[in-house]
Amino acid sequence: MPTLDVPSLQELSVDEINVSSAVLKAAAHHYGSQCDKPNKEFMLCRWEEKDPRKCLEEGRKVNECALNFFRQIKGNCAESFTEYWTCLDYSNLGELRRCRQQQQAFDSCVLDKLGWERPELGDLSKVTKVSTQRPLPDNPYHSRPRPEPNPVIEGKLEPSKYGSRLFFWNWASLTVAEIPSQGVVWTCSLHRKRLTDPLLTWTVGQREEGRRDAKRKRGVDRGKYGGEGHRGGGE
Amino acid sequence: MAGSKVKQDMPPPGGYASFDYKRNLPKRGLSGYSLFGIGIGVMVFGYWRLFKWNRERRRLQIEELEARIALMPLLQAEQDRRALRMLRENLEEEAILMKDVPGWKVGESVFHTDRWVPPMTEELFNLRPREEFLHKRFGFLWYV
Repeated sequence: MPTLDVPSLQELSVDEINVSSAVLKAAAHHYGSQCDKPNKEFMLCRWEEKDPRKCLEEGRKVNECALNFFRQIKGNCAESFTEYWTCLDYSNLGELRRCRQQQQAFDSCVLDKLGWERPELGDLSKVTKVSTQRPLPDNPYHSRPRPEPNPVIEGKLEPSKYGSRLFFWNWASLTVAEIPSQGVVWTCSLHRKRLTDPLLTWTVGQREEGRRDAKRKRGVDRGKYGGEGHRGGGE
Repeated sequence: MAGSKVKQDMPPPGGYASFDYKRNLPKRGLSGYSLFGIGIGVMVFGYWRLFKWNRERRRLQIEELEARIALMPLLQAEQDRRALRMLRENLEEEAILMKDVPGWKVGESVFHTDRWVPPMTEELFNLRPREEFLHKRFGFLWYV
């Protein structure tokens, strides 16, 4: 059993952003357009490698970008931003539509001082191409080597001469019983008859004349297969 | 007798004024077709308002989802680091706790593969108080 490699605490130590969810949501749209590059690189790495231990560096860059972003906002547009996120925090679900006025004020402040434009609706959900130096990993799932495919069958393949012998098999089930006096007995559940040879193929509509006479003699309709058929196939 | 003047209650001279006694059911108001028309018109207007508002709500929902999309890398990175940190702490605790057990390999994975298997919540919160695990598992659950 292989050992689990976990990075040490020192490698995991990164300057974290100490900020609550309302602040993050308030700044989300601008953050998405400003810190786009390191974010997309991190997500690409995470999704390709399928391993968080390999994406710690990109994660660190994401944190750096986010910290820079918040420092810039704090330096320039602190009051309007504080009003915006307090308004968001006050509303029940943090809906963005409850705070349009404060959003306008914040947007204009940021546009004036930092030149940032709020991205249009649908811009952040667009699929982007990311260019990285990291090579594409082969076998990210660490799967074992797959077996070789079957070799190509050479020679001419033709259909079989008499068709498939298994054609009627899905119509009825065959039961096998060992009766001491009669040996191994095959019974067919559909026709309730004992078969002399399991490979005999039946045609629908065949009936014995003897059975029909027996039904007429008694004058009672016992169903399609007559009275004898219900006795489990013994004759 | 015809000649005697008896005080009787008689109609006023000239008779009573005429009043209408015939049934009066005037045809008034709008016709049936126009009532249908008004009803259907009100409904159509209602539908139009509803569709407009639904489109507006969809735009608002897209905006909220985009906020989530924008924040996802940050949150994912933080979550990864947190999980790895907890695994590291668990590993060190395990080394301390199991150092006297013979044949115990510290940090041995339970799987035969060496790819990254996302750790279970139980695994991460094993050595912590139970309420932390319950908060992680059920803290944000709104339904039962």
